Amino acid sequence: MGRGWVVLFALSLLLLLVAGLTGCDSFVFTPFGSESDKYDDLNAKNLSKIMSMDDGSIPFKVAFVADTHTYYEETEKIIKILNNRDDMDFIMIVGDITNQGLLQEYEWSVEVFRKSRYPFLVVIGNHDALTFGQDIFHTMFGSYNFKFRYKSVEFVCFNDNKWEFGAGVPDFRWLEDAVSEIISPLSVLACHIDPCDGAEGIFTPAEVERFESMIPSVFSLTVHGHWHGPRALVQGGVARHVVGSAGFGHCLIVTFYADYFEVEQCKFF
Amino acid sequence: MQIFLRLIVRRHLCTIAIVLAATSQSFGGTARDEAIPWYAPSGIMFQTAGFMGFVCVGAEYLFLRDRLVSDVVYGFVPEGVAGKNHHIITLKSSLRPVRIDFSDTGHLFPFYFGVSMIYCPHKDTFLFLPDKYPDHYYKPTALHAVLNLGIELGWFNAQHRRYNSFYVEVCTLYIYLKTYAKNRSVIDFSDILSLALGYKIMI
Repeated sequence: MGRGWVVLFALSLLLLLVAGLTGCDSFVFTPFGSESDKYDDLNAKNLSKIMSMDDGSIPFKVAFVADTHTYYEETEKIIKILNNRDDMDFIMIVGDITNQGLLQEYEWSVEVFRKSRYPFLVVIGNHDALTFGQDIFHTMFGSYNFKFRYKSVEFVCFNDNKWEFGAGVPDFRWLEDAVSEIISPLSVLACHIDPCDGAEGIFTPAEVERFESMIPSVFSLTVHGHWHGPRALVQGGVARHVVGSAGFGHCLIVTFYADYFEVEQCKFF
Repeated sequence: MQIFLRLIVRRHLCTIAIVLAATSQSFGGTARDEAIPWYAPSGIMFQTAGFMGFVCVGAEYLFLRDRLVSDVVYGFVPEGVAGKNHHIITLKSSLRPVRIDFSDTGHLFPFYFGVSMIYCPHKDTFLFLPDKYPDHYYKPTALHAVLNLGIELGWFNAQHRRYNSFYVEVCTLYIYLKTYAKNRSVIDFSDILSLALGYKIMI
């Protein structure tokens, strides 16, 4: 091949690359961005949609999904299955939607969640708090701790990613305040790491004891992620469920009635 | 992982040292003055994007008759661009297997490819796993590998008696590529790519 052809080939390749990338975010300056220009305050926006559906009718169903990180195709499959069922009120993702807490990972996750026909809420996971993930979560989803009452069920979403956040987490004062305001017969605690599971040594024995003294007094159900296999345990009258990773098709569907609930531990694929 | 990283860093430094010792730095086939210290760069490069920073400046070292290029680059990303000021230090190595000279002063590297390691030192990132975590709990968050493919067009500026060149690269983060490979039906290929533009002056 003559040199002229090589030059032409190279220039054509260059043109193709430039043309192919034009219109996209062609120049990425850093993977360490901490602010999304696409999404903000998603939990508040979705919560407002959820509250607008609150007509008090029961029973209702909530799907819990967890540990979707890097499993975008599998998460999309679960969302399609839930969309086809057409019987959920909303979806709650119980943490670890990213692997390294990178902005691009957050945006890919949201693009998948947005394919859901139901509003979705996200609880922060330990992986989401890596790199600048704490800032990204805060701008993209909102507060790390939040609570709401939907159709007579109290939902308390709590950040217990102690290692990644350091001082101030878990925020027992916030949790105690939240607990003191619960008046519903059914209440759910959603946090990424099961605070009563001392297996990893994340929480000190004193912290575990504090959780154990607080949780059974008010919560009927606790839902977690973190472990990629599902787990279920009833302890002190509380049903403690680890959802299992979306990557392996796991999903927890809970049907809430007036004063009891039913749990369906699903493995869709 | 820490041991693995340390090995990579040591190996990278050893490779640079060995290559520096074994080959003379050159440009256009001209041996550099022996009085110039080994660590003096062959050139200076400026770049934008390609995951290396908004504004990047680096020292360039040429080996193996200009076919192997190593850059040590500092990149800055301002708050207005990424939400938070941060700095990126990059070790970039590229191989340029084909060089085409045209007219009397111009040359083209029709394609080159390489790997970079980008490092973002910050209180929120880590290179070595902090003690509070069990072994292998996380991969380093401050360090990422970038793969790049580019084209470089250069010329000799007779007035200043210096070689200059422009280059364009398409880059991807290794973890983006890995994620794309697992999720091709969901992720757009263009999402994992970035263009980079750069300019080099040979000293």
